Amino acid sequence: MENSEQWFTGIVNANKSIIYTVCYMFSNDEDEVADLFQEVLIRMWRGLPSFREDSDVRTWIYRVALNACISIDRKKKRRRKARLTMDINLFADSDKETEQVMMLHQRISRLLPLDRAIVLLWLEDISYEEIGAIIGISAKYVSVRLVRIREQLRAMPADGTEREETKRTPKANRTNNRR
Amino acid sequence: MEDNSSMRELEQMREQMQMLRNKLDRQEIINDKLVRRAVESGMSWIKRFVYLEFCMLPLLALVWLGIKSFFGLSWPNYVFMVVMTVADAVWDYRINVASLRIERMEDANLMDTLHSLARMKRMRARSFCIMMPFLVVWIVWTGMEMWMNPACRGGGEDLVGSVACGGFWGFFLSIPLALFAAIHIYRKMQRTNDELIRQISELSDDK
Repeated sequence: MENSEQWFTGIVNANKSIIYTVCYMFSNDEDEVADLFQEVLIRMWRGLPSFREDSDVRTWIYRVALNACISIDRKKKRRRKARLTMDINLFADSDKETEQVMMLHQRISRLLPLDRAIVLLWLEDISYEEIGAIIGISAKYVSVRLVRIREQLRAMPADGTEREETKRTPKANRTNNRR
Repeated sequence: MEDNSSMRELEQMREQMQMLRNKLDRQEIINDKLVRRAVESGMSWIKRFVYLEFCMLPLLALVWLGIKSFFGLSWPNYVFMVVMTVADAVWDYRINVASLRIERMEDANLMDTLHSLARMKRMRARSFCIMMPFLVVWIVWTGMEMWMNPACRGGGEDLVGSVACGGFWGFFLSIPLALFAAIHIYRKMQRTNDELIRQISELSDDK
């Protein structure tokens, strides 16, 4: 048990940025990120017995994190509030770098959750085959989907606000963070 | 021209992602408390909720027995309420087991997770549609029985009468509010389901 705990702590520390990035792209504020982060850790711990050590840890972490972000009902507050040890706020800080990161967040969070997952995995330089395996679609369709996502992103301004043509799109066709 | 613009946007996004990584690499993020909570997470909240629901059933039956005696409600009304509550708890158990299964799908692919989620939400919507009419029938039935209570009809001069009258009017005034809330909740559930199903069909059709 102790060995599992040590191993778990080790991989969590080594991959904290991946987990945080996924939670950040599926959240609207700091608290939500922290709650999602905690949920991902819990699911990772529970999934540890079934994790095959010859599998890629990074891919496994992406699967767990994306499954958690996509399937959790954010409205249900089920656990005590989680706190992350951060001295930055990626939703509110005003330095140039954070503004750039927020632009990325605003653009990606306007996509459907599955498209968000595809873009995130692609931006992390994961192969089309692996992306397909994580999402549950063929590698060929990953490339098709990325083309469509790029068209959607191109329709958005670089700062993530809505352009006129997207404002005219019926509400049902627009994405949102809620489930 | 379009391709160049598209490439520029992608490059910009990659740069922004790198900035995010650099920022995060400088942060601690993880602390002992977080790891401890994960390791000690124990029973899922869903399981706890299911156990609690079933434990509350006998208590609810006892409490309603007292209310039945106080207001002079009939045995059929009481039995109807108990059967309805037990049926709701059993159906809720099935839905929560489905929720639990989704929680355990840590390394399933996302499409499978979404399929399971859509299935669970359909069950919840179905449960809502079935239970609502029974609930309305029971509310009206209970209200009528309270109205038939002579203590209430007499103007409620004593404690029993006052409470019976208050209960009766409370029931009737809350029906339109409850119906409005129920319709609003159902429509919200359907919108969420429709969104999920649209995502799944978009990615499934073009495979």
